[in-house]
Amino acid sequence: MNSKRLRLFLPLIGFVVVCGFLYRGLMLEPSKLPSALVGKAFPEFSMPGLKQGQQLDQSMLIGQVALVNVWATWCPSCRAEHRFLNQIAEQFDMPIYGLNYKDDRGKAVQWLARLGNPYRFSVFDEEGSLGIDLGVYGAPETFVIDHNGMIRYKHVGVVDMQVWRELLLPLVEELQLAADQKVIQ
Amino acid sequence: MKAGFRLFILFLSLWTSFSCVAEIEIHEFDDPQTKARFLRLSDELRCPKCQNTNLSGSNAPIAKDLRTQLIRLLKEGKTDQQIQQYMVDRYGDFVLYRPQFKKGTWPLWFGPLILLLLGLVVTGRIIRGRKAANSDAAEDMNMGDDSALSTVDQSRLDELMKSKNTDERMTGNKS
Repeated sequence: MNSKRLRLFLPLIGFVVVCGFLYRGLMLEPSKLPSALVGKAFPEFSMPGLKQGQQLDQSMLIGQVALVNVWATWCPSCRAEHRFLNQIAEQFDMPIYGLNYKDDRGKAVQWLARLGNPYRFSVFDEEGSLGIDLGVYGAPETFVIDHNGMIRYKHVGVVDMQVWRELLLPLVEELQLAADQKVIQ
Repeated sequence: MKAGFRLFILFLSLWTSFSCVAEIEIHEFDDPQTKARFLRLSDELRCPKCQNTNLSGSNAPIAKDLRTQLIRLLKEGKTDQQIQQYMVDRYGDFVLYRPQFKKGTWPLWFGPLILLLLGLVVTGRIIRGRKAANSDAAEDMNMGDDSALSTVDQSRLDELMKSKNTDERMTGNKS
């Protein structure tokens, strides 16, 4: 008798479980894919920089915990993000590298001249081939790499104060600490 | 006359559409097999940008780039598996409409089967429970013996049987 009573509650339990999944679904952002490159080394490349005559490769990104920011002048959210990147570059002693993704060189140079340049340098990826190797599928995207050049995190979308404070900065600090400890050892 | 001509032109212009200026890529393949592979792979690979569209059906710039990569890899003589791995290495399991077997993907493959079996078990139990309940109810009401006929039915049946026997005798006489 008791178990029959309990069985009456099964639909309710099922309903609650489904509600749980649906509620979780509200919080998910399916357009933001996790990066397949987290935990892997930054892909090898050899590409021109945005500055005329500059030639860059992956070794130039290695050595410090850094951000690699994928940007383009055709991307409106990049504009929104740009001011904040300038602030980060000013306040923190951490290199930000740019990946100018499928853009026009002239426009990109102009954009940096007008809006300020938070990047140590920008890789000029006209065809988007480094973008593909990085699993980039839009702009802006921001990678966090550690001092060994390993990709530790990718953020899809605009980096703003909230993202920086809650996601990127704690990770950057943790990685910097790990890097410092290695140096001491 | 002039007005009529104008009207005629206007009328003709109804059949003109200016919306079909979308870019169409033209790919050339050395042999029909490569073409078939390209079509199959671009159908099975998923566009990371416009989700729930495959590479072949997407207009997103990234889909176009990935199609170009796909062709490059095909021309380099890569196998289907290598090509799929290339995409997965960059964009994750998400890009495969038919995910690989591995630790994280087995619920995708076996989940439906498990749910189906679970459903069958539950349905089976419900049906069995109902059957048992029905026979219990029948016994309770003392109508367990279905073959017993009421006296009215029995007498009617006897009558019918009799008349049938008569029929048979009659036909028997004729033949």
